[in-house]
Amino acid sequence: MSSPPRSSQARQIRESRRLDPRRLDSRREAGGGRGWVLAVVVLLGCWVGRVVAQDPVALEPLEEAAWQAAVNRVAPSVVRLERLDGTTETPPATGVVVSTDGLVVTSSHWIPAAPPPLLCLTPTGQRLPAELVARDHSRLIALLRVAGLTAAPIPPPAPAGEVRVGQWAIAVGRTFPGSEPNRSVGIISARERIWGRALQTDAKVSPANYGGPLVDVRGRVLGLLVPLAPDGTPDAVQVAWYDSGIGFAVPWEQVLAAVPRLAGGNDLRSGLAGVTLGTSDPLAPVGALASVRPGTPAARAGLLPGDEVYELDGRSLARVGDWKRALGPKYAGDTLALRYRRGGEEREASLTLTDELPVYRRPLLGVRLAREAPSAPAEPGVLVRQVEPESPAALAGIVAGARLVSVNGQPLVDPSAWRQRIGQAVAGDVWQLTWKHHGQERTADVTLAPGPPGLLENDPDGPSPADAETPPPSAAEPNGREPQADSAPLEPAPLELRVPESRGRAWAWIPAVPDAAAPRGALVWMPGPSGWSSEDERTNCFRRFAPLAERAGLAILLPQPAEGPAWTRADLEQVGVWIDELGRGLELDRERVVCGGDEAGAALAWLAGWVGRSRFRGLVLVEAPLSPRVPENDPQAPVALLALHARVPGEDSARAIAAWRTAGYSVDERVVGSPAPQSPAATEVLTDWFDALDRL
Amino acid sequence: MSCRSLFTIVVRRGIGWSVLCLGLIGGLLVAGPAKSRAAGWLDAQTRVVKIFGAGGTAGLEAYQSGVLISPEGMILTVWSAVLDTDQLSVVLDDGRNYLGELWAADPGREIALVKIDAEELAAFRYDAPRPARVGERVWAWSNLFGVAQGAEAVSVQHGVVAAIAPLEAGRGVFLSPYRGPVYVLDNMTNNPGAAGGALVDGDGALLGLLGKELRSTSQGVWLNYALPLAELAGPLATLVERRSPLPVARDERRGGLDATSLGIVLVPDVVPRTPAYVESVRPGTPAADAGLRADDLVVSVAGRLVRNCQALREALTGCDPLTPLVLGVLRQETLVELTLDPRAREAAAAAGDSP
Repeated sequence: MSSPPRSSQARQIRESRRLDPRRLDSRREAGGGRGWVLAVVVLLGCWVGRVVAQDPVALEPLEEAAWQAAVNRVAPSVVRLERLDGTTETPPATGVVVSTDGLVVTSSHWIPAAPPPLLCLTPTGQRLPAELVARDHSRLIALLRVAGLTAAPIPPPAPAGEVRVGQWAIAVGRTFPGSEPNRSVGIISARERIWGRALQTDAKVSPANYGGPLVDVRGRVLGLLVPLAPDGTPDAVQVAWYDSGIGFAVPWEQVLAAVPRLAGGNDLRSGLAGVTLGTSDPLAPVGALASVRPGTPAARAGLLPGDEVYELDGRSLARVGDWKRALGPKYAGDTLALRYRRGGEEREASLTLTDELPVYRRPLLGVRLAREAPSAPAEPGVLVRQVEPESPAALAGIVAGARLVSVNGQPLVDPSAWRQRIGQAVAGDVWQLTWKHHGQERTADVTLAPGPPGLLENDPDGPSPADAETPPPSAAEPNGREPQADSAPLEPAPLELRVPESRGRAWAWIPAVPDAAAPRGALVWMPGPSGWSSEDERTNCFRRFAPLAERAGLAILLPQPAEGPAWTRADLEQVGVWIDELGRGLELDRERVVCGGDEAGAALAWLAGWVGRSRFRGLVLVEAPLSPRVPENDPQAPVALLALHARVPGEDSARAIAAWRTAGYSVDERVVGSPAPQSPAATEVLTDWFDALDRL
Repeated sequence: MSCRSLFTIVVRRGIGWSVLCLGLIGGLLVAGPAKSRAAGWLDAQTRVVKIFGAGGTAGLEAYQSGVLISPEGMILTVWSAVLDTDQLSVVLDDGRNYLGELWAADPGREIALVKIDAEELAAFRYDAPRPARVGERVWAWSNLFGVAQGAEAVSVQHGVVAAIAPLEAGRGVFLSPYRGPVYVLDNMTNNPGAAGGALVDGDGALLGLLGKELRSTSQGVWLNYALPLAELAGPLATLVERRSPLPVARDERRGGLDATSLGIVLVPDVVPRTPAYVESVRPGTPAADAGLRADDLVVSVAGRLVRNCQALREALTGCDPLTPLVLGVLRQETLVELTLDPRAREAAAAAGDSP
């Protein structure tokens, strides 16, 4: 208990303590009456006797009185809030007065996007209309204005620096009928939870007190009770955690800091910087930045991948969790200082956070790189196998066979350096590009063009639905593939992959191709929900993709769930393990790993593709709709989509494609005739699409 | 300040030990007996029993808790399907197992008495119950989750009375018949087997009976609550004598009021949740006299929130036709309170009939 309790017993104790023995001495030496002393000693004895009698159990009524006093102190500032949307089931919520002109903070979870009329029931039983001013989406706080609420006092705040783990914490709500607030008594369980945005308490936090205050034993406000949850996205309401012994409250000083910003009527959102750290493991050390998204606050601040940030907003960073804790409490629009190292040099930058990262759309240079085996030693730089006509590269005079060696003076050592470079760029960027061809070195300024909406769009080799029979690329290209015309179809010779303690099963077929040294792409083809029913079914699937595998240089992988007839998340995660296993025995071209399926299998391919997003560069959906839910495009993990249909699809499909393209994804859609899976046109389209996957 | 420094001062100043002892004794006398929870408090452990009966299927447990209220083995518990058997087994904290007899039940309050054939048992008193206070520290004794087996005593959980409020809860679609006040708890008592357990205060006195697993209709969450003994004492006295207690007090519906006779025409109630918007007000009626207008949204009746047309009609039927009635009305952005005098209805009705 951190405060003197307000009971008469406690007052007696305090008053007996105030007696000063030295004053007695002077009286006695001055010849004061002995009766006085006797009386005082009896009093002192009383005090000692009381202490002796006071075992911990006797303290309980004092604690209880203190809790009661704490709730009574805050109660005049705690209001009940109601929502008038016609249903009788809508539970009321609680709010806390934060100004003398009618501002009330509450949890935002109970207020729908288009709020119905809201009412405030004051502690004195008055009902007043309330209106939503703004929300804080990162903390689930809403600010309401209650016209006419002027008599309610502003509650005393608990000093922010004095909040201690283990101290009393009382969760107060006003959702039950009657004049007294409801309350639950607990302690502070932890501070700086939910990435610096919440106190944790074991007081019971539920719809009975969401929006109400968490107070200390003196009735001073520690925080605002909200349904935050550790793993939930800030906007997701996690009411399911109620009464679990794990409750959260936004620290009151954070609430008070948000109020003036919300009072202007503008919503507050989490601040985003636009970098990735390469891992989400909070215990991993903060190493170099894995990526810096172009057009984001981090990019504007001049950060580059590889920079080592060691201080953010005055907090030193050791682990990934420190980064998230430093950034967690910040809003879009906040500016924070950071210190970082680049090549041993210490630098400073200032970052103004944003609420929404710009859509990433890959820029286009217009070259396709030769598929050199990463393990094969090659001279520095990246070899161009093909240049797209009228592309920025073509206009600059780059030709097939050229080797790109540097961008803006920085060397391009290998294809991965190249990919990272393009992942940092946006259309309109001007590159000073240096390349070598036939021993000559040339340099030119190249302006990157906007990326095409699909890989097959504007593609000289790509077929349109009308000319699906376009022959495959010619032998003029370096590393080009010459199909074995008129040869007998390859007969599948699959092998079953084995991984110790693995779930499920998988079969792979790596057909022999002319250019055996070139790294292979991979096509993972998902069966229906119940898996592959027989070996015949798998053999048919292998046969179907034999021409594609041969021409595009692919391995085909057919996974099976561990326990049919349903795919679990673990089964989907296992698909990534199979790919890694395939990569052990084979030089895998990671830029051309694709997951696909027919109809119901396409839905599974969709799931597997997003579960293992870092491994897949493309998704093929045959006779299946595109999901209207579009995840954020990640420059470091680009995913291209190809939809194949037997007939021209409806408007829903066009809308979905437009949504995906707006989000920056490359999407192609082709009508390949019926039946779509077996159509020869499908093979043509797939071949070209696979070839264009590393198109830039 | 420590005791030792006081002693030093006292001894150094040469004051006799006898005086000090006198003071100490005086202190103990002034303080009275230490307000120790331990003495009578732990006795609750021997006064709460484990009841095993029917059930065990369809998510219903076959066990619950009970409270001894007489030395001769009268046990208060909740009325539930567990008691619906001839083989009711009652197990005391020391493991003694008795065949229980369903003595009497009050379905209205969802309580029942079970009798076992025993003597000189420790029992709670129920004849002079003290009402609990909101915020009061309380302890809940029960066989939650059936963890106590055989000669094991039941479990105790600590918490406070979170609120005292009418029971507005149900399990599934079945509302509890009891709608009186209950102690809402912040202990997690809403668990299988806890129903029928004892809610006690720091002195170990019985405050209430732990209720069944119910979901609050207003909060939408599981409710932890106890039936106040103060609400049960009267019915218990009659149940013990195997007489039927008075039914649960219901709202007296003395005629009540209705929107039409007050002059209020509501918007068509097309969906169950149509807000109570006023379509029009008939002139010369109490509503017109009070200044109610078309497009007003009625939000409260006599201080109680009404969220839709249906709720408004129900609230009006519970109003006294002879007392002025205050309606809360949302008009554009402001909330106004209008006082209607229902007695003017007769005149309005008469006037309406006369032409």
